[in-house]
Parts: sequence; C-alpha cells; structure tokens
Amino acid sequence: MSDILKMFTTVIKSLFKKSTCRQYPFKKPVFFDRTKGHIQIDRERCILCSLCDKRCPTGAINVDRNARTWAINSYKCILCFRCVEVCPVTCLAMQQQYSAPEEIKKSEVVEIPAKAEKAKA
Amino acid sequence: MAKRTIVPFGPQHPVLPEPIHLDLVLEDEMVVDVLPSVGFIHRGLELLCQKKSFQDMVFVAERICGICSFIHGVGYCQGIEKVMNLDIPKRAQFLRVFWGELSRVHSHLLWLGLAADAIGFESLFMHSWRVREKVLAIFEETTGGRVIFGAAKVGGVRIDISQDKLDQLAIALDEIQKEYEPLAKVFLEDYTVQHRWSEVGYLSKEDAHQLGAVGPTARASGLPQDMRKLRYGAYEDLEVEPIVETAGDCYARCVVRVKEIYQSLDLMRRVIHKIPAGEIETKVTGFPQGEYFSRVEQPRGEVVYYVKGNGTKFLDRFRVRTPTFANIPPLLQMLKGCTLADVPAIVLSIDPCISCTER
Amino acid sequence: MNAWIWGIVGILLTPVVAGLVGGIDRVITAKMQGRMGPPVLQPFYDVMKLFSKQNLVLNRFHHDLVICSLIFTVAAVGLLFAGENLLMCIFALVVGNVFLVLAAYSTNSPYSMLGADRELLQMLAAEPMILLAAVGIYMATGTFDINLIASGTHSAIQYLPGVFFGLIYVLTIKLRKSPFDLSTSHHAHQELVKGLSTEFAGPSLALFEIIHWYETVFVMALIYLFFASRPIVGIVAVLIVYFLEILIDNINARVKWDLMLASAWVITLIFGLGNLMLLFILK
Ligand code: SF4
Ligand code: SF4
Repeated sequence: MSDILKMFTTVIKSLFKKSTCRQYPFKKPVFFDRTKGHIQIDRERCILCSLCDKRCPTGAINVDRNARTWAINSYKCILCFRCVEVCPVTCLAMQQQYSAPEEIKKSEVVEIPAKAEKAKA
Repeated sequence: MAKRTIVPFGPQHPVLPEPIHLDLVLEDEMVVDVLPSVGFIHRGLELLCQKKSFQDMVFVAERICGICSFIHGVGYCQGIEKVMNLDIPKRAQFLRVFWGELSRVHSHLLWLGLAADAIGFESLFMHSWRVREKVLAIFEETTGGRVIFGAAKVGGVRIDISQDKLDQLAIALDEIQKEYEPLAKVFLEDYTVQHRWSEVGYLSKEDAHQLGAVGPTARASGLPQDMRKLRYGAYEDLEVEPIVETAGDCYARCVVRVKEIYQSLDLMRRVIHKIPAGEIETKVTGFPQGEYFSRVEQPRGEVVYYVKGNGTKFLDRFRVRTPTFANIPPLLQMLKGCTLADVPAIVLSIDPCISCTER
Repeated sequence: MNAWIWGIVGILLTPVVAGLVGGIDRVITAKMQGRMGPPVLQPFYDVMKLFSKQNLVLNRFHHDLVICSLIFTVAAVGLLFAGENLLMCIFALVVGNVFLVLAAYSTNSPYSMLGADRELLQMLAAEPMILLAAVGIYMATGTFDINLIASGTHSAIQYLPGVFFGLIYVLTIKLRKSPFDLSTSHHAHQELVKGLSTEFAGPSLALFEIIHWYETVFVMALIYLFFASRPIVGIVAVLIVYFLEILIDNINARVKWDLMLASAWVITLIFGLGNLMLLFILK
C-alpha cells in the first residue's frame, strides 16, 4: 500500500510551498557575476584594431576601420567571450542582461569616435 | 493473424522531443517489428572542421549536444591535446571532471524527468526538473552559461573557480542531494513506476555485448563498461566503480541512473576536496599533426572522438561516434514484442539524444 | 414545469461551474508540481481560442458525431438536474460517450483508433461500477427517481460505503486522470499523442472539452446523490473527492490497460457487489 504513496509527501509539501517559477521578464531574474547576457563595447576606448573581428569564432563582430564602425550581430554571437579575452584595451565586456528579442536579425552598429573628437570630449 | 497497423513514432512525437522516426508495426497493441530512420537533423560537422580552425572547433563540438555539451568539448580537446602532446595542468583536469560530473547529474535528472513524463507521471517530471534547475544555477554561477558553457579549451579550461566558491558549492551539492533523495525513492520504489518499467524492454547481457550497447544501457544489462575506468584526465586520481545492474529491463536502466547521480555527487565532493592549486591552461603553440581516438564517458555512454590534423590550422578529419548511435541497435532489439504503451518508456530508457547521433 | 426549469438551469450552469473547477484543478495541480500554474479562468480562454480556430475535419461524419455526443451528454446532465430517472441519465451519458468513440474511429488515424479502442476498454472498466452505484442507490432509497432521491430523508451513503469507494475508484477513469488516463489525457504527452482526441482540431476540440465539462459535472452530481439529504455535507464531500482525484493524479504514473481493467473489476466485484449483497441480506 505504501508503495503507491511514495510521491505523497513531496506533492503535499510543494502544495504549501512557494512555486519555483520565475516570471521572467515581469520579474527581474537573479543574475550571477558570470551570467552571459550580451557583449557591450566602450566606444571611447576602442582602437579599431579588429582583433575581436578576427578571433570571433562565428564572425559575429564586424569592424570597419574606414567607416570607423564596430558592429555586432547578436544573433550570430554565441557568447563565448573570446572577444572579451582578446581585446588589447579591454573595451569589451560581458553584460548580464540578455539581449531583447527583435523582429529582424540585424547587426547593431556602433560608431567609434575619432581621436580628435575624443580629445575634445 | 491479427490485422497489422503501422504506427509512426516520431520524428515529431510529444513524448520524444527529438527527431528520430520509428515505424512500429503493430498487431493490436503488440509491436512485432520496428523500422528506424534517422537523418532529420544532419549538420555536416565533418566538413565544418575544414572551415573552422581547430581552436574554434571546440565551440562546435560543444554544440553537438544540448545536454551533455561540456563533455563533448572535453572529448574533442582531449583528442587534440593528445595529438599535440600537450600536458594539461592538474587543476584544469579536476575542473573538467567537476563540470563533467555536474553535467552528468544534470543530464540524468533531465532524463528521469522525461522518463517520468513518458509514463504519465507529470508531478515527478516537474519535481525532477525543479532539482535540475539548482544544478543549472551552479553552472550559471561558475561558467556563465546554463547549458553551453564555453569553458573547455584546447590546453585546459578558460575559467577558474575560486576555492571559496568551491566550498560554497559543496554546500549546494548537499542541498541538491537532500532534495533529490525523496524523488530517488519514488523512482526506485513507487508501485506504478515499477508496473510500467520492470520486465519491460529486456536486453540480455549477450545481446548488450553483441549489439554494442554502451553506457547505462550496457551497465543495466550487467556489462561493467565505463570509460572512466580508462582513467583519462583527473580520473587518474579519482577511483570510479561502475554501477552495474543485472536485470536488463527499463527499471534497471533507471536504477543505474538514479545511483549514478549519487556517485557523481560524491565524485564532485572528492574533486572539491582534492583539487590542487595552480595554472588552468598550458600555452598552445603550433598546429596538430597526427591522429587520435579519444574516448570519454558521457551521461549516455561512451563517446568516441576521432581527430586527424595535417599540420595546418584546419583539421583533416573529425568524426564523432555518439552513445545514442551505438544504442540504437539494442533499442530495436528491446522494442520487439513489447506493447505500444511500453514504446515511449523503452525508447526513453536508452536516453536517446538524436541531435548527437546525427551530428 | 419546475423540472424543466431545473434542467435548463443545470445545462446552463454546468459549463461555468465545470470550467471554474477545471481552472482551480489546474492551479492546484501546478502547485503540487512546484509550478505557478495558469490563471483560474484558463479553461474558458482555451475553449474560446479553440472556437476561433479553423475547423479541420477529416470527413463528413467527424464533426457531426462530436455534436451528437455533445447533445447526448448535455441531455444526460439536463435530465439529471430535471430529476428524471437515474438509469436513463447514465445510459444517455454512455450513448454520448459511444458517439465520441465513433467520431474517433471515423478518422482513420492510428493514434485516434487506438485511443478509441482504449476508450471502449475504459467504458468497460468504469460503467459496471456506475451502474452498480445506481442500483445501490435504488436499494438504499427505494427509487430510481432523482427527485425522490434528492428529497429523501436519509442519505444513501450510510448503506453504501463500499459502493461509494468503488465509485471513487472508477471516477479517475471518468475524469481522465492518472493512473487511468489511457485513452486521452489532459496533456498531449503520451504514447498515443492525445489518443481519442488526436484528430480533433479547433471547434471540434472545443466541443470535446465542453463534453468533458458536462461529464465531470455528471459524475460529481452522482457523488452528491449519496449525500442528498444533507446538501452542505454533499457539496463538501464532492469537493473532497475532487481534491482526492487531483492528488491521485499527481502521485501516480499512467498504468497499462490490463491493470486498469482488472483492478476496476476487482474493486467493482468486492466493494460494489459485496456491499450490495450485504445490503440485500441485512435488509
Ligand atoms: S562572445 Fe564570442 S561569438 Fe560573441 S562576439 Fe564575442 S567572440 Fe564572437
Ligand atoms: S579588439 Fe577591442 S580595441 Fe580591437 S577592435 Fe575589437 S573592441 Fe576595438
């Protein structure tokens, strides 16, 4: 008889406990320090060396020196943080917030200000 | 002779979230023949190795499977390391074992949930996954990823876990074990679970050996086969005794997995206890030249990685023999003569991972 | 005249009550599984959404058979509330069920056919006990007329504890809950996909849900009849029984049909028939 009641205590206990569901995105999730969300660039510091472009395993980053842009396609990015590792001036960082859903897959283009502008600013 | 019906099982079937197709030939509710067909998600990894550098291939190898991803990465890295004669720091090897065993716990808990769902035990399913969620939280805390970590790397691992954190994790592991215990009891002792599993899908020891079963499927039939006995990586310092059952039915396969979770938790405690300090990676210079068969133990059984380098950035050949692939012939053997109601239970009992199988 | 009004009120109220009960059921089930669960009104949202979808029928008979089934099931509940003959109500329900099986058979899909086979087995397992319950109530109260049963001065339960237990046992079959949700379950997560109702889509599936609501109320009313002389006790008993069913659903896996049939008949024989024999001898 007790064989069919093995699940009984667990079920009854959880009836009176708070549920384990987390209602993302209505409630903010608990992120850990290492949680991988998205790659963020500090545009002031980037020197357009395009190392991140070369070492990215999926080709998600696109650096254009002439146009002075740094672009990331977050749909290609697999969040391996290799770009973070290789950037010589450590201007890339892993942010914890996941990137938001979008209707079209597109790159996010960041303009890198020229040296002169940086100096002014 | 009763009228024969052919019931298609998969590639889209609710109890089997992965695309394998079985044509079940039924007489009433009795299965008399099974015709499998695979190949719905072939991804052509073998050619991909000629386009991605051998270091980038780690990320591809990790993505072969969404459940045991880390061990896939380790298997691949180990192959390349052997080809290049690299010495891996001890700490890195222990960390690999830690994440590998945690992956095993996560994979087995996932399997237990799915198996419970296949026999219509929804609450057990949900509770297994609730415990699994805690394991995923540890993953996220230590590597940043919940399923795919990107922690393995040719030459070692990419991230370290500090000693404080490891001590905290030891407590977390105890908590997981405490929450897991009542569920394990249900799997081992509940009447309806036994009704559905015991003496279902029998595989004899001889058949298991001849048809090449691996992992828990083989161990449940009495074959003490466990690649960790090869003592690769840090298993050199960590003794593992394979868990063997002799009944050979679905219930035995469940028992093996239930017990392996305890074993893995125990192994992780030993890792935390024994882990030496030091570097976590060696510098990799040059390119791989030569070939190697790397064998590691996945939650589902033995996985074989074959890598062949030609002295350039790209590999020549790259081949994976995943455990599910080896377990399909035994599966067909088990299915013959069962009733339709048993099919999901039996198919799940080999813990099929079709995405692995088709690479 | 009064009977007619009661019947119509019953028919109209049933979907509301059963839908709410279904919603609460889902929340409690979710809680038992450590989840949050859907809003209480979810069953209504589901049905409304299903009605707004395209009706994919496979042949001429399919949808019509479902409608026939609905008519008979609704009639069964209507007659029950109107206070007609208990046996007639039970048979109307059975006929409704048979139409559902026919609808599933008409589709030619293997899942649906096997589901229909199993539904017949389930009826085979459950109906004897339900009929015995009716007979038991007759023996206890001396009538099949629901009006008289309901207005009687003493409840049937004091003579029929065994029958009541047996009825609860087969109730799991009627409510399509584990361990006996073989022909079709509330989640499409079994070897037969959704068994009986695999080929029902959109409005047909909505009708199927509504049929199930009526069935639920019918069996609950049957339980109530055991306590008819004390309405409050009756309602409490119905609620407790329903909670028990949810609990049983959550602590059991789905069993195979042979065990279902065997155990249902053994229970029917021992508790149902045994109880009636005792009653016969003692009275
Ligand atoms: S995280 Fe990895 S995939 Fe993403 S942009 Fe950086 S290098 Fe590329
Ligand atoms: S590696 Fe760093 S500095 Fe170089 S281009 Fe990328 S972001 Fe800019």
